[in-house]
Amino acid sequence: MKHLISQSEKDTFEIGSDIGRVLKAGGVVAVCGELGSGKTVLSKGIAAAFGIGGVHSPTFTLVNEYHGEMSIYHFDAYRIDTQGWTDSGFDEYLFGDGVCIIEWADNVGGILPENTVWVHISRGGGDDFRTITIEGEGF
Amino acid sequence: MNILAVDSCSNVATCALMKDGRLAAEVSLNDKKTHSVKLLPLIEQMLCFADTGIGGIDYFAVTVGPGSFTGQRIGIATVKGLAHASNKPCVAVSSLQALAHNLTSSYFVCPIMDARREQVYTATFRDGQYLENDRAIALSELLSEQDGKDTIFLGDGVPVFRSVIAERLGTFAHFAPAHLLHLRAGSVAELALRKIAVNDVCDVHALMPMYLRLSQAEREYLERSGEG
Repeated sequence: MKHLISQSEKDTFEIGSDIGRVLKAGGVVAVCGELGSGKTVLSKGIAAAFGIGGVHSPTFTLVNEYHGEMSIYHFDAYRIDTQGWTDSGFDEYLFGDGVCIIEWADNVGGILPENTVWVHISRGGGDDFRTITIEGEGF
Repeated sequence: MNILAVDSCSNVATCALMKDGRLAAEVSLNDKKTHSVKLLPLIEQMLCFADTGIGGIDYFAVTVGPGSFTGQRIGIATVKGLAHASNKPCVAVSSLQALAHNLTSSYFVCPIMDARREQVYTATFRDGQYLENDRAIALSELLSEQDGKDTIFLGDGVPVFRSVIAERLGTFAHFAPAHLLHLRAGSVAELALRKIAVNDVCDVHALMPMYLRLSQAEREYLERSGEG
């Protein structure tokens, strides 16, 4: 387990990139943290590690797909539970050819695979201060 | 009588045209899962080469599952659209039965589709007849059932589970060759022909996906991860 400190949006992005660099096809990153904590910024950092830019929040679309040297599937599970996740066919992405990043992953945590990397972002000690915890294979 | 048969329940996107019992055309694409992009052009090109317009189709056959939920929806939505526009009936075919129909044997035939988390969508056949209906179970459970029985496995679960099956069943494990391993719309069309003969057809609005859910598997998974 790794505990890291972010003092800016840039730091959070860089931490995301560091996570991205150790991910392989079939990798899953579960990102948890309250509104505005930087989940999407961290996701952008992960995608950047694969040379993918233009990432935006999947809040309204539930999932955004990006195809580059690696396919990135970026989910927002805020409005979904495990049943909804399965019924939507989202489960099929998890064991596929790309990397899945799931924001609000706590909602579907029970059915995520064992290789999932869990990232918790929490605030405290100033507006831009975040504690980022990373658990999983390679961390 | 012309049947257009379509399947996109697994890794394969495939379509076939059967004219008066003759398999006039069959196309199968097993590359990437881009069914939503490629299925309709495949159908269009195939019909074009076979000099048949969509208006010349009398029945629209499609696999309704089990399989990938997204894949099932792509195939069914495509066929619904075509059948609705041409006001013709549909024929619902099981993807597992269509797979098993690739080869008939006095051995047991078990089509297996990867349902993730060591689970499979499967059914058991012998001499072309169902012995066990379509179901979602743990691969280990299926292998216990087939222990000591000559069984031919086929479907997209084979590349994933081949070594596990061979290890567990030893010389009783057999695998379909590459050209029979995956679902072919020709098998769907042939099954549809049989269903049409007994009037087992449906209106476009009655055509529904058959979702097999891994409720048991999910429960176990939840328990294992301490959230059940």
